[in-house]
Amino acid sequence: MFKKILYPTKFEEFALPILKNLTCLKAAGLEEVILMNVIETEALFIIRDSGFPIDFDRIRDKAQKEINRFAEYLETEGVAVKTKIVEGSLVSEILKAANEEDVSLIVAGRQKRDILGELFVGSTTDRIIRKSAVPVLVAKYHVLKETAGETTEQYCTNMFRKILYPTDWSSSAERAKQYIPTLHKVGASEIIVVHVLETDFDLGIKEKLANLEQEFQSQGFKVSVQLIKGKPYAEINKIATEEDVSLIVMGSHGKGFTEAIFWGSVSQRVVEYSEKPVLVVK
Amino acid sequence: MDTVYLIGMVLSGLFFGWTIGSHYTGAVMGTAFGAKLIKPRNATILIAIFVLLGATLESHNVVKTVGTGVIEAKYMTIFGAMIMMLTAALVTAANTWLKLPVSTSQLAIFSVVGAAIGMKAQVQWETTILALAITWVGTPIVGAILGFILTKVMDISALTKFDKAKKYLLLLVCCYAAYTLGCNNTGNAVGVFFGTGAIPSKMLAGFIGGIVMAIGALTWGRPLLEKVGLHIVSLDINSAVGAQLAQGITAHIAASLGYPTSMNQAMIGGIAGAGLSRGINAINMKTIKEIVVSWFLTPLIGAVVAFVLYSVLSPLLGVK
Repeated sequence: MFKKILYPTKFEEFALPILKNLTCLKAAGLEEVILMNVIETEALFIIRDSGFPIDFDRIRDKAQKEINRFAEYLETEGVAVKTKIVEGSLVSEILKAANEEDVSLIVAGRQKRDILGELFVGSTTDRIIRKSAVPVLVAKYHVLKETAGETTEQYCTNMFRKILYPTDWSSSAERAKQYIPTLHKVGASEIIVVHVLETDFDLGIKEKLANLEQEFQSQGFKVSVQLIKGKPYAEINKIATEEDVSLIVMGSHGKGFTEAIFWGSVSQRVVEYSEKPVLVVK
Repeated sequence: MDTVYLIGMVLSGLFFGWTIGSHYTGAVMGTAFGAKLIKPRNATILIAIFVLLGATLESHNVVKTVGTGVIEAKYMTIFGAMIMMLTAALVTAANTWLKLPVSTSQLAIFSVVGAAIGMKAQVQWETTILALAITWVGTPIVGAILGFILTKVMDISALTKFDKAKKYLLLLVCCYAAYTLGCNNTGNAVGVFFGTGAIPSKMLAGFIGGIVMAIGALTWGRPLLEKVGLHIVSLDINSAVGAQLAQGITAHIAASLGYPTSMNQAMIGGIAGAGLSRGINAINMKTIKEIVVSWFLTPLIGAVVAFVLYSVLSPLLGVK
């Protein structure tokens, strides 16, 4: 399920820590990581507009040095590595590489914080999720941990420790469920199953939730179940923060009519506003 | 209502001027910064000073062309001028995302043309526009010839022996380029202020334009300068002086004639000429294609947007 991962990076501050977190997926069958850097030719527009020739060799050399640093780490961890530096448009190059390399997971996540400390995921991530054929792990990190008056930022330590699984029993939520036993292998011990009701209470739901509880228990998880009423994305993010889960695993499409047309607005918003990493399964 | 249009015109024009000031820091100081001769902060301060000087002392001919040369002053209404500057401002802002090869000078001129067509005002095609077209096509060519000659001169001059002197020379040349940016581009933003009579003096119009451009360079010029300085093919000092001086002289000639031209295309020419003087074929087909695309694309966008804005807004707001 996680045999081959595509890890596009711009070498941000947290890129290496996140990568370090991913190596524990070896226990779940991770064999190879494709490290990728896209030289965004569009972003260099301002230089072209100044009349100067762009020094692609210099840009590529710099990227190569950074990517080698990442590759060395993976090699010491015994994970096979392939590096790719390409020129073009970010999203389409990532999708192209995912397709060519036949990867099983794309790791994405551009983190930005505004003055209020809220996290935003760039529309780049959004577009990758929308168009990707494989699951996308949106890596985020905890923010604003106030310790002794100091503001520090921490990446998710042990990303797979405690899972939040929101479900509406749609087909993509069911596909997301299939990833959960694998996560148990890499250290996930707790799971919170949640269903958010937007309309009136439905008796059948409780039974379905009880079944899920049993199923996860039999897989060795410590399970808790929550049935709440409210706005799905807001409630999911609230629980994720309150319960301090380490990962949200969810399907990309909901069941509703609108969501069949516009890709799951719930998962989109969870990805956008959650401060926890999200594994979005198509 | 005229007051509202006047405010609209002034704000759009000033915004346009501000973007020019911030956008061209790399074009005029990129070689000096790339050669690590100057810190970005000091570079933007120098740009601000020299742009203001150029704008105040020598932008009057361009101010006149944009304000009264494309259409006669009698056709230049406040509302029309607002549409022209709004077009320039909107297209510039939108291009932050669209990233099309658009030249500021061509955009300013054809925003005037588009609104003029909407106003049914007579455009001076055979005089002003023709002269501008010749200037635009000639810009990269003149830039290349000058770049070639100036780099050769640098190579054979006695200066070659004095590295420090060459560095100061490059800095001086960059300041000159900033000065010519003031001469060449200010009129694009404030020409219509003069054309409508809102500001009766060309020099005052130039000074005001120079101020906003200087503010642009100081407030938003640094990241752009850094990006340019860090990502361009580094030139040796002789070619850097040759290319940047070629750009400055080309833009200066055009501005003196009153025909605003593209500083970037002058630079592209200058660099190609500098390369040729070394026997390197620095002329890239892709770049040439982009210049030619820009010659057709910018006028089209400027004219169409201004025409549509005018045609839609004038009946809506009851402007005759």
